Amino acid sequence: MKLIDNNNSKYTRFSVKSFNRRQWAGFFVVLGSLFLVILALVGTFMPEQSYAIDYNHKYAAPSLSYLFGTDELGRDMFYRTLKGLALSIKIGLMAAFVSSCIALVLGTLSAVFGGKVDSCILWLIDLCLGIPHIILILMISVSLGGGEIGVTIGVIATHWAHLTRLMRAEIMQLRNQPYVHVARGYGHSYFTIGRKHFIPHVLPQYIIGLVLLLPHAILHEAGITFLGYGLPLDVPAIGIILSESMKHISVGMWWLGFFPGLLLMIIVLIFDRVGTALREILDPMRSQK
Amino acid sequence: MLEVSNLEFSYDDGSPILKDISFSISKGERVALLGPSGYGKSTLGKIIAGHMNPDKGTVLLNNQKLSKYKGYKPIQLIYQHAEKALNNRWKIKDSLYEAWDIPVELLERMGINQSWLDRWPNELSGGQLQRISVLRALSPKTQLLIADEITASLDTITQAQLWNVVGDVLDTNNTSLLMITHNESLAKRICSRIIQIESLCTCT
Amino acid sequence: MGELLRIEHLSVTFSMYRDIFSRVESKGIEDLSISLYSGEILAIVGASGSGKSLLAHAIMDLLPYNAIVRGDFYYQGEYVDGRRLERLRGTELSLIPQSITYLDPTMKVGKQVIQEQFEMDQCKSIFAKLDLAEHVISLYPFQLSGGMARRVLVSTALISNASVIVADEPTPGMSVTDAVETLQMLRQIANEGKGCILITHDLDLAIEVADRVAVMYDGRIIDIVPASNFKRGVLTHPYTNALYRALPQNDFKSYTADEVESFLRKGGNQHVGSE
Repeated sequence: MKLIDNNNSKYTRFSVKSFNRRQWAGFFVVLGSLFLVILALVGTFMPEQSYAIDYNHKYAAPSLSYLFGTDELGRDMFYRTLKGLALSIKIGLMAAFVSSCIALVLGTLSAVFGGKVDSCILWLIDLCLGIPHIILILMISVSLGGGEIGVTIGVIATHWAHLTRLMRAEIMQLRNQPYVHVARGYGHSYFTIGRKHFIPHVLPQYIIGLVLLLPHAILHEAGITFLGYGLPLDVPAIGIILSESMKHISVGMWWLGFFPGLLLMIIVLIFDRVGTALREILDPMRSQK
Repeated sequence: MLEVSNLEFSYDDGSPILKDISFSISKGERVALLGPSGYGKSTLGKIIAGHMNPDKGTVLLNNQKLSKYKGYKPIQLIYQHAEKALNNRWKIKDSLYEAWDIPVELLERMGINQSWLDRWPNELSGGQLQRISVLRALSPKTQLLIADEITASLDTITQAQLWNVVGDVLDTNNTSLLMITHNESLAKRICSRIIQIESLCTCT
Repeated sequence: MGELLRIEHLSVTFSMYRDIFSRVESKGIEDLSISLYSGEILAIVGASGSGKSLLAHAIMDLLPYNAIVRGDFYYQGEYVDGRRLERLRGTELSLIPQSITYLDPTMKVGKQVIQEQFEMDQCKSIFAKLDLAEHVISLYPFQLSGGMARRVLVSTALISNASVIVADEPTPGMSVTDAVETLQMLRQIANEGKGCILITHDLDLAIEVADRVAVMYDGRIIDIVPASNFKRGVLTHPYTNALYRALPQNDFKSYTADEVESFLRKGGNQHVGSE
């Protein structure tokens, strides 16, 4: 009998197939990113006529010529949804990128200087995490007069905190590594050590954090617009589409809300999965699975 | 040459570990710091090498603070666990030449095989990694080498090999040695003077 | 002496990524066989990375998730399957933790020793046996002195009345007197008819306290010799002999890499024939 029966025990925590977990994850990252990029490009460069007002085809149910149906002005919901999602992705990318940059700078400052700087930044983090996001975004967005800029700044201002805390912890832990002390002893400057030891170590965490920020940013943008405090009504944003659909849902025009909502959910899920798959590939803590 | 005076150090929680420590090491001398763990031997080593700052007291090399020396520092510390002293995302050769321009002849003398250079740290054994780590600290510019239990987790054959070469290089460069260890027989083999850590420390 | 434990053809393999996408298997232990008899201390010596800790961890089921363990396991001459081995680990096999940090700092010592499955009376008798005062039962770990802590750690392994005790590097960094004290406790345990496996990188210590010494190199046991053979100078395996000669209190001889290789080649896996 075997010490451990290899086919029927908890030691069998993976099996060797033609594709290992990381290769699957890599495959998914490429596929998911490709889908999102195509969607964003199509949405951005789509001519405005494709969702123009057409009173001849009001309230059309989903069909082959109108995949997602039309609304009360006869606009093609499929193209409106694409346009709205592309806009959401654009705002999300912008917001996530800027807030991750803030996180990188503040996290590094906090870890390197310590002391008062550190306490101050930690206090800011707590302040930001202490207020419910949606309320903070709402206040910032309204006080900046709403619109694309208001929403983007609102989302930026609320999303840097988690990643800052992560960056701070990573850099603090790195700072006390023997190999960093030893490198100082060889006469290398902080700049060289930062470039050669710190950045390669922190970059994967940063990229994963950035990608995982995207779904949050997109949902918050859509949420605030849905509530009427975000993008103006004439913009085909996903939040506007969803809030308009609420008026028609009681008369049975389900497609106005269903398809845009579903697509929004799929996009957010893809972002989330791409982030998780990236972590599978880049995160050293999981690297042995 | 090395002058340590009135060194004091406490942990973050305030419990003292080093109290009023003073001693000196002269040029080319080999000194062992002997004693069990818990007396702050490693902390003392890190403070002398400038990897940590003391609460009080000074460390002077040729009447100068270590921070006054630019470039490759004349005091080098080797850690017990080589795998922590090498960045595990770097190939061996990158870690090796991060330190100084090591001549090929010295690689051979240290028993480092050319084929190791293109590998990753997790592909070499503890003894092989320690050879890399030791060689990084053995530049002609090194005036004092601090060896913190560098062979404590190695087998006795590797231990003897390693100290044999280190002793040679120390002689060639007239480098002083501060050896931190709990192994009395090893200390007696290598060093001419032994300091018992208990005699330095008033606290446990 | 009765055979307590026999492990045959044990191998431990790790699966890991060499770069981003390709996975390799690396061998930790390869085809290792060993027996433990009652009443003896069996020391396993080797450098870090030779696989000696993996052996202890494989016995006690402490390996990380990416390890694959294969091998046959016998307890008192009987085959043991995976499920029975799980049960044995709680009752018949026991590990002495390496340091006080393995104890829960917020829980009184006595409670941790009895682990919700034994009686306080048992704890008291174990403490008496190890010269520990009874009031230690109601102390917290941070209140223990170094000597007390070591006894408490040993008592956690003894309370289950296990017959196989595994001690993984119990002495690093200790002063000589403390180390001797800890090892005397092991001797006492062995004298009661139990078997001790002492994992250590300190050959000197192993020779002093153990009955047999197994030398590990690169995931294999290359030699098993009675500890007395070292002092009598009858070491047939050239590598074991070199290990002993290289001790600083002996010749402190520095062998060349080629010499060491030839020792390993000439000696082979000697214990296979001798047992």
